[in-house]
Amino acid sequence: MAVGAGALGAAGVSGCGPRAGQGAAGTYKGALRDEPLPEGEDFLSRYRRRWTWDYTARSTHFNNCAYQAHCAFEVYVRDGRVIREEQAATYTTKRRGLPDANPRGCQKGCGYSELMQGPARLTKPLKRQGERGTGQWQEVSWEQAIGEIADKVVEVLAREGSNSLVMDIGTNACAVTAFGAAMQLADATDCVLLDITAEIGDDMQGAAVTYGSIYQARSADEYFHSDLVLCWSGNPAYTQIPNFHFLTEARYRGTRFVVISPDYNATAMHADYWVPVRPGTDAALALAIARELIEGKRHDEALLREQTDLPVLVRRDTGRFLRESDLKKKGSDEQLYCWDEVRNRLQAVSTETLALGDLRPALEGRFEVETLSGTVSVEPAFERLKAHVAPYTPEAASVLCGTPAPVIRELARMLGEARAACNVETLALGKFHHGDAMMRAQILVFVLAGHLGRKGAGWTAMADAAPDAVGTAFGMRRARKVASKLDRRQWYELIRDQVLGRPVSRRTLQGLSEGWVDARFATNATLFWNVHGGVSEVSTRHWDEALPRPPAEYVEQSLARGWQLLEPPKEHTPKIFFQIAGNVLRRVRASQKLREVLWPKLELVVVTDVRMSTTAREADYFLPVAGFYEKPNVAYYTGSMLNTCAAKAVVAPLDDSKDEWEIYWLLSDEIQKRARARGLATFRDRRGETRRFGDFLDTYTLGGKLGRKDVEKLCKRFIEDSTNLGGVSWEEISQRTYAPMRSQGRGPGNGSATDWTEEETVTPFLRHTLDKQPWPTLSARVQFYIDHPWYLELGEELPAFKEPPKAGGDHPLTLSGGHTRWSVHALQRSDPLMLRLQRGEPCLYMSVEDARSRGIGDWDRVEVFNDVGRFRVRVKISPAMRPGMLMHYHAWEDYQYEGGIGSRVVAASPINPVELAGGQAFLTSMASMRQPGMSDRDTRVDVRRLER
Amino acid sequence: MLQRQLAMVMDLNKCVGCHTCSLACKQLWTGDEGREHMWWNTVNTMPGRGTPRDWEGLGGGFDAQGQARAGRIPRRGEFGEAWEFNHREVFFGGRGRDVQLRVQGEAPQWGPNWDEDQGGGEYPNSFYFYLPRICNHCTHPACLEACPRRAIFKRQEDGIVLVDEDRCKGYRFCMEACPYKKIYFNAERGVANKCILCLPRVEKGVATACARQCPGRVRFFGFRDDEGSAVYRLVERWKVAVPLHPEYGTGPNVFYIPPLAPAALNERGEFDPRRSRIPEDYLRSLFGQAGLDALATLAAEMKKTRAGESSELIETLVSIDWSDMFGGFDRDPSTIRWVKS
Repeated sequence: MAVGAGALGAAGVSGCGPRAGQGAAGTYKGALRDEPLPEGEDFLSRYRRRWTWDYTARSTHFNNCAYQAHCAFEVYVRDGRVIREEQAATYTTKRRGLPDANPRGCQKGCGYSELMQGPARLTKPLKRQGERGTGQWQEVSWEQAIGEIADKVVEVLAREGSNSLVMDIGTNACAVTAFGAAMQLADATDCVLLDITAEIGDDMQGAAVTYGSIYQARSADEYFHSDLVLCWSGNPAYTQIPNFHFLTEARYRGTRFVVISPDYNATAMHADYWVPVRPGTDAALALAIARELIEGKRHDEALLREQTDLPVLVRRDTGRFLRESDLKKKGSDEQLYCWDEVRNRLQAVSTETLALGDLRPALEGRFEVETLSGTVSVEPAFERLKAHVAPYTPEAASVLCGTPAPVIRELARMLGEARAACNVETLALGKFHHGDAMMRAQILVFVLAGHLGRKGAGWTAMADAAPDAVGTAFGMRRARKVASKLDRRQWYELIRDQVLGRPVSRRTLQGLSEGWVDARFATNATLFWNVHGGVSEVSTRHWDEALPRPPAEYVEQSLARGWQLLEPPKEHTPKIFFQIAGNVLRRVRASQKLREVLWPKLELVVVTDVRMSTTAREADYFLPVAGFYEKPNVAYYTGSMLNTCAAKAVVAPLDDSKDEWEIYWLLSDEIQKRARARGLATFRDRRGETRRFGDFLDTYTLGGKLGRKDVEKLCKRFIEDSTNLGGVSWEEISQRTYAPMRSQGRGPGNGSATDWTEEETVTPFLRHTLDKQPWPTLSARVQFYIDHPWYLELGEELPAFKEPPKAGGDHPLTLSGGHTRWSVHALQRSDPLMLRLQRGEPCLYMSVEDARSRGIGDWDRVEVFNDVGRFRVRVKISPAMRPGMLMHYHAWEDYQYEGGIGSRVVAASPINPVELAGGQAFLTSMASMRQPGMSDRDTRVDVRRLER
Repeated sequence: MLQRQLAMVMDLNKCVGCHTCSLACKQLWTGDEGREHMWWNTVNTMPGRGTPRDWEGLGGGFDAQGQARAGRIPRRGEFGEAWEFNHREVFFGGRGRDVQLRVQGEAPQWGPNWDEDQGGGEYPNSFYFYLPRICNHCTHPACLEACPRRAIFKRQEDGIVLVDEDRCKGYRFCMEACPYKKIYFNAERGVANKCILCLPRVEKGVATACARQCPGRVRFFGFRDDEGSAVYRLVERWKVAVPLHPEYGTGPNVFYIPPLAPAALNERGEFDPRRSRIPEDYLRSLFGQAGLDALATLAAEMKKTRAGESSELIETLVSIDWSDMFGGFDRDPSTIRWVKS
C-alpha cells in the first residue's frame, strides 16, 4: 500500500534501520527502528509520550480459554512496570486462499495488565487467623507458610498415608508452570489427584462412546471448506472470540451458518438461520431430522455400511449384538457380525480394516442365525434405528423440543443437501444431564447425511493437540511407565486386553514404548465430591421420574464392580486439600455441600493462586503465584489454532509472588527436612507401598535434575523433548511465543486420526475415511448402538431423547448457563475493568414474559429458589430469552452474591447412570472421559421479587 | 483547507461485541488523569439506550438547513462512573459473608454497557446487534463550531478532530453540540477529552489501537481518497459502508456495514425470507435509506459467492491479509525503539 504514514509529514519516520544485536527479532518480526522520544509540553506531546515504552517482549495468557487458546502478545514495559499489552499479530500460517489468523486476542487478554497489577491481585503469602471464610488473614513469610504446611503434610502422610492428601489441579492449570510443577508434587506425595474433565462438564461423553475419543484436532479455519455450519449448542461469540472471524468470513464466502439455541444470542445474530429450541431437548430435534433424512432417502448408505456400526447385527430377542460367543463355545465377546448381501450370509466384522472389498453389509432386513441356544432372529442396527426414530415426525418432535415443524424439515433438507457440513465445537453439551444423548444424536444426523471425515465435513468435539512430551515429562513415577506410542485403536486394544485379562496383543505391543497408562493416575472428581464431599445428598435424590431404580444404587454397583474408580476409598477420610489453579468451591455444582461435609474433615487447605477466589477464602494458607508475564511457561493445550505457546518472563514476579515450580520445590525440600527432624522415615502411598521421605525432593526434581530456580529449564525440556513442534528451539519459541504443531506426535492423543500440512486446514478422521483404519470402539466403527445392560435398561442403546430431569424439583423455570464473555472461568470476575463493562455484580437474564408475570422489573433484586437451595441476584430482562428459561453466565465468586451464597447452591446435578457404566472395554474410563460428570443446565427453579 | 481525511469502516456483521476495542483504547489513553470514567470507544447493544444513556435523544448536530440543533450535555451518570470496588474490605475485612464485592457509593443505575445483550423484538423474533462507536472525526464537526475558545480544530493533513487541551477551558459547549455524544469532561483537569484517533500511532504509520486490536477484524482504516485502500472500496466504490445518523448533518468519517440478521419466523413457524428480523424502519432510522441500499448490495454479492462466483466486495470484507485492512497503516508498533533525541 503506497500511502500511509510517510505522507503525514508531521513526525515522519526518522529511524535508521535495525541496530546490531536485533538480528534475532528479525526471524519472527520486522527489524527494530529507532524513533525519537516525543518532547514538548503541549497536549499532543503529552499524548505522544503516553505511547512510548522502554521495551516490549512477547508473552501470552496461559489461561484455559479452550478452543480460543492462546494468542501471541507484545507486552509493553516502562519504568519496570507493564503499561499495556497488544497482540503481536505476526501469525504467518496461511492456508491456500484463506485469510490469515491475525490479530487474535480478546478483551481479557488486552486488559490483563490491569488484572495483574490491580486490586484483585494478591502477592503476599497469607495465613488464616479467625474461622475459615471470615476474611481474617495475616501476611506471613514464605518460610513460615512453607514450614507450617510441610509440618502438617509430614504428620498426616506419616500417620495416614498418601490417600489422605487430595489435590485438585483446576481448570486454569493448562501450562507447564502450574501443571508440571503440581504433577511433580503429586508424584512426590503420591496424593489423590482429581480428574476434573467430566466433573466440569467438558467430558464429551457422547463423542467418547460414539467415536471412542473426545479429541479431534480440527483447525478453526476448516469452516471455509463447509457449505453449511451448524452451531448447535454454546455461544462461540462469547467463548471463541479470536477464532470467530473465520466464521463470519466463511459466511461471506458462501457458507450458510445456522445457530440452534434456546436464546437469541451474540452468535445467533451472525447466522443465516436461527433455530429456537427448548433447553435440553435437542435430541428430539435431532431424531426428527434423522427420520426426515432416512424417510427422504437422503442418508449416505455407502458411508454407513463402511464407517458405522449400523450394519452390525443385533439380536431381536435380547437387544444385544450378535457375538462370536453366541455362536461358539469360548467365542469372543468382542467379535461382531453383519450380513453380507453379496453372499447372503453372516460375516464377521473386521477390526483390522474398514475396507469392505466386495462385501456389502446389509443395512436392512431380518435374518435367522443358528446360535448355541438355538435359532435367533437378528437385524442390522439400522433397522432398529429406523424404528427408533419413526415416532419423531417433525410435528411430534416439535411438541417436545419447541422447534416449529417446518424449521425441522428445513434443517433436514439443508443437512441432506449440503456438500460438506460441520459443527462449531463447543463445550456446552456436557453440562446437560442428558448431554451424552444429545451429542450422540447430533453426531448421528451428521453421519447419516454423509458428513464425516472429509474436508469441511463432520461433527467434532474438542480441538486438541499437545506437545507430545506431555505424556512423558511429568508425573512419571505416578504413571509407572507402561505405555505408549499407540494409535487410538492400539490404545483401545490395550485397555480391552486388560479388561478381558488377556495378554497384550501383538499389534499393541508394537506401539508400546513409554508414556502413561494407569487407571489410578487420577480419580474421577464427580465421584469424589459425591462420596467424600457430601454432594450425593442432593445429586442422588430421585430427580428423574423415569429412572427405574434409585440413583444411589447405580453408583454403589458401579463402584462395587470396579467400573469406576474412587480414591480414596469411601472409608478413608481426606485430611489435606491442595487447590492448584482452580476454585472448587465456585466450580463444583452444589459446592455448599463441600463446605458442609468435606471442609470440616480437612485439617489443612492450601490454595495457590494469583487472586482471592471463593476457595482461597476458605483456605488455611494462600500462596501467591507469579502471573503470566512473570515467569517462563509453556501451554500444553493448543486450542483450535493448533499452536503451542511459550514465553519467558517479561518482568520479575510481583512483590512476594513466586512461580509454582519454586513454591513446590520449597515445599518438597521442607517436607524432607521436617520429616528428618521428627525422625520420620517413611509413609504409605496409595497402593499401601512404603515410600521414603528422604526421596521427596529427588522425586519432585525429576531425579535431582532441576533446582529451585530452574523453571525455565523445565519449560525448555518440555519444548525440546516434544517431537511434533518441527524441532523448534526453546529460544525461538519463547521469543516468538508460538510454534505451529506439525502433527499429533507420539502418545495416545491422536484421536483425530489425521495428518496435516501447513498449507491446508486440519481435517479430522481422514485415516478412518481415507485409509480405512478402524475406530477405537467395540465395533471398530462409529458406534451408535451401545448394548451395555444399563444402556438397554434405560432405553439408551441408540441416541435417545429423554425429557430433562427436574433437577432441583418441580419448578416452572429452567436455569441455564454458559461461559461468560467477560472472564475465563473466574479469573477476571473480580477485575474492576471488566466489571465496569457489565453491571458490576452478578445478574440473571430473564424473558420479558416471565418477568412480567412475576412483577419483576429490570435490575430488581430477586431470589432464585428450588428444593435444594436459594440465592439472590439482580435481573436483566431481555426479549432474547426464551420464556421459561433463565440465563446465568458462570464463574461469579460467592463473595459477589448477597450473603455470600453463589448460584451453585441450586444445582442438584443428578448422577446419570449410563456415565457410570463399565465392564466393557470401550466404556472403560480413561483420563478425561467415560466418567460420570456433573450438570447444571437442567436445573429447575422459580424466582420471586425482593423488596426494591 | 482540508487536504486529506482519515476514515474508518466498521463491519457490523463481524462484530461479536467483545469490547476488545474498548479495552485497547482504555488501556492506552484513558487510564488516569481524570479520564477513568471515559470510554472513548464504546460498544452498545442495539436497539438499546446506549452510551451515554438515550444519547440519540440528546440533540446537537445540524438540521436539514444546516442550523445547529439544540442539545444538552450528558450527565456523568448517563455515561456511567468509574466504579470503585471494596476488594480489601471483602478479602481482609474479617466480616465473612456479611460483605460483598460491590460498587462503592451509590448503587449504579447506568454504565457504558448497561443494556448488553437485551435488544428488542419479540421472542422468537428477538433481535439485536452490536454498534461500536468512536468520535466520528466529522467533516463538519458540530463540536468545533460550538467552541467559543476555538480550542477544537480539524487537522488539514488527516482530518483528525482534536480538542486542544491547552486552550480548552472546560465550557462544554462541544458536549452539547456533538450529536453522537462522544465527548467526555475531565473534571480533574477542567477540559474536554475525546478520541484522538490514536494520532501518535497514526503519525508513525500504525493503525489505531481499536482497529489493530480488533480480533473480529471489524475495522478498516485509511484515507478516504486512497483508491488502493479497503476504506475507499467500501465507502466510495461499493457504497456499502454508510454513516450512522446521517441526518445529524455533521458528515461522519466513521462508516458502518449495516447488520444482516437471521431470517424471521412467520406465524406458521416457517423461515420468512421476505421479512427482515431487524425491522427496516429501525435500520432506516439509524443509517437512512443508504443503509438499506447497502444491505441490498451486500445480499446480492453474497448470493454470488454462494453460487461459487467471486466478488471484489466480499474479498475486501474478508481480507485474506489482515494487514490490508489498514490502508497502509500496517506498521508493527513493537518494532519501534524510542530513543532520546
